[in-house]
Amino acid sequence: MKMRDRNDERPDPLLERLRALPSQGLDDVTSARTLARAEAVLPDRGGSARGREARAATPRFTRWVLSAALLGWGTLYVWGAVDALTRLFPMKAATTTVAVLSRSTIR
Amino acid sequence: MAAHEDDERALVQRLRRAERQAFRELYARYAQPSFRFLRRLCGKHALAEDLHQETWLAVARHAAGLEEESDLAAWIFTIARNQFRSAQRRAARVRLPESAPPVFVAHDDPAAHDVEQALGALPEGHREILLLVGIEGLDVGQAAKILGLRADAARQRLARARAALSDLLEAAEGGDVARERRGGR
Repeated sequence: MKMRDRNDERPDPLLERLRALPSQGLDDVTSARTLARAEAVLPDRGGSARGREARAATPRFTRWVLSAALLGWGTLYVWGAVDALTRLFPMKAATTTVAVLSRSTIR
Repeated sequence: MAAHEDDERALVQRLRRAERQAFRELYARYAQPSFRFLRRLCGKHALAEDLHQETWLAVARHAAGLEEESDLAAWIFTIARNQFRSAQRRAARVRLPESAPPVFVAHDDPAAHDVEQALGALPEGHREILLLVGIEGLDVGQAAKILGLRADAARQRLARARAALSDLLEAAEGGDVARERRGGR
């Protein structure tokens, strides 16, 4: 384990005192039981390696094309939605302006 | 230090390949430190054993997904701390009847006993950083990573925790001296 001595140049007596505390460790039986249980859930080597190889085999180009296609589809979708909305709810202010202009043209 | 880092990097590589022997080496290296940390963090031996087991189950599940540059000590202590915090949340949700109060490790040596008592009396945030830096010997950068703090914030917290521990120890030792004087009379 990396030790703390990089923190300070001078040893800190209080921290040294903490480090010198005797500790009540884990007993051997519990420790062995924990290790056995943990090893039981450890993924098997072949499966893990296969998964990593499969991920690495996915060509970068394919991932790029897929992202670009999704982005394009998203842009079209948003543009279509905005277009439909502007047709449904035309901007009244602009229409009024046109009317005023045409009246002034008639005079 | 470079040799240690190379060794740790090699161990990470082997863990990524899900080598069983590498996992055993990791356990041999960090099982006791992680248990010590949990034991002093929660103050209960049986709970610390359960949390320790949960920690190592999580380590085993995620070892193959480690990043190449992973810091193993920081990773394991982060998992241990998360297990402790989850247990706290579960206990708060279920509202268990008040169980036995935390018992901090008792020692025959009165000075060590005072230090344990003082550590147990500290707020959790202070205790965590002192356990990581003071007892487990991690550097402030690693402790900051584990506690989710910036390095300067961790340094500040360490200074405050250190001062609080020092005050508690002075008070305890002052009390001991007064008791000895009273006993002497």
